[in-house]
Amino acid sequence: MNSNDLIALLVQKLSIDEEQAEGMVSEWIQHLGAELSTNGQADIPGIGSLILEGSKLHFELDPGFAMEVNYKYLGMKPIVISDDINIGLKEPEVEDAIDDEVEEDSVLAPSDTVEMDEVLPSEEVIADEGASDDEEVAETEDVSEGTESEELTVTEEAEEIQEEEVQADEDFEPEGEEDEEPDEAEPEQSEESEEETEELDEATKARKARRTAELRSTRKEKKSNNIPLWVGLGVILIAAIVAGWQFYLQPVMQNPASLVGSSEELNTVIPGVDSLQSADQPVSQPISEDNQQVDQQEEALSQNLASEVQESPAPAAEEAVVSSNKKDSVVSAPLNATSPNNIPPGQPKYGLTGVFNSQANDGYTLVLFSLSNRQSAMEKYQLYRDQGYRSLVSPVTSERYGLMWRVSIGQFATVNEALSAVEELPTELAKDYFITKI
Amino acid sequence: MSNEKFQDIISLLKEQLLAGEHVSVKGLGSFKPVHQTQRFQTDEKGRSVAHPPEDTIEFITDETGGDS
Repeated sequence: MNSNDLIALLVQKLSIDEEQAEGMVSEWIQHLGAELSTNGQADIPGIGSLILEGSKLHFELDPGFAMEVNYKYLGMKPIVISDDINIGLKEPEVEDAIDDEVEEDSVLAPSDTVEMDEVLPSEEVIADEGASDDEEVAETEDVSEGTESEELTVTEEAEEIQEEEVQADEDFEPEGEEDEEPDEAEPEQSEESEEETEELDEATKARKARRTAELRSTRKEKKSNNIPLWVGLGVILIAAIVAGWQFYLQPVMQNPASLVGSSEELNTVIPGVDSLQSADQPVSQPISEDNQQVDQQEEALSQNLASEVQESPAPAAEEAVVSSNKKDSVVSAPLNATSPNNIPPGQPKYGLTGVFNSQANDGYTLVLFSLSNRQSAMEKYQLYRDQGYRSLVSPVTSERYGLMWRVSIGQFATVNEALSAVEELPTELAKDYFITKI
Repeated sequence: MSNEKFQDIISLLKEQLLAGEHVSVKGLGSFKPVHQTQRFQTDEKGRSVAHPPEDTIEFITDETGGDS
């Protein structure tokens, strides 16, 4: 379009004659020139600014207009696609996580086990020794005395550890003192009567039994401390699932036409989306073609969500590395969750065409559009689906652009496979794609 | 002189650019919608980075005063 075309359009649009239109355009150009000469900058509201830099005129696009022009790719950011490097980056994190878990386990669980395994038998030894010691001392067997005193020392150490951990009551201390006494007082005790020995034996056994019960109950309490935490987390998770079902998934399941229906129907769904968006939570829901498949789709969707939870940190980290000045966006699992039962037999796991396979969400896809209008995204999704492509729609929550709907086709194991598939695409699609992780 | 006076021209220009039209204004320059395809680069860590495609507007100064 040249100046004459512009003038002709002005004539047509404003119902003015050609001279008036020419005058307007001429006046506008003069106005811009005057601003440039005085301010070094001339604004074209809604489009951008002309900036005079030395003798050159530089154009700076208005951010809002830039978004309008680039509407198809809004929210897309550079991603690292080197599979080998990604693996190298991710594995240490996983290993670290596992190591952490192992360390935690090794710190907590095994020590508890050790306590149970070591301490309790030692107490049994104490009880046994207390009895046998007294009996044997009474019988004045020198050989057994030496052995028992050594075992008692070990037992005392074990009991001291128990005292520190459990903070045993006062009953325990005299017991320890009493346990120490046999070493020193063995010769004296050897002179006591058998009746006294039996009484002491019974009293010792009773104390040991009581203490053992206390220690066991204490450990049970220690172990049960984590149970409320897990129960609480479980309750929160279930509540989130129920809320998601009640307020978002169920209305859509009951009225699938709302996904691609009229704008009035769409409005009944969008508030749910807005509320989810405001809560900064990724949005996911299945596109149900058949209400009878709802249960299967829910199952597949839950798998998607689970995989998303595991995988989401890695892309975010990668994007942060690539472009630290850009804010992260959260890409949810594709909406078109399809049960494996609905996939035609013989269809490969990955591919450009066919039916979307929720099991193949671990690869790459060719993004064609990133749209702010959900209905438009659904129309695009349906268009490519009708053309036989594996069509996907993924909600993208971007801090910068808000909720976007990313339309893509194909599921590929590697970037190279995706690039190969591009050759099969029509020209209009082949020039407007973007490979990204699902 | 206020820009409001030229709002009709600006709206028309914007409309044409959003439609993908190349608009040339005699005495000023040309506004041209440009599509940049996806490109791959290697970052400083040696990783392959995919940059998304982008649609934008370029401006070319009319230095000759001509009108394409």
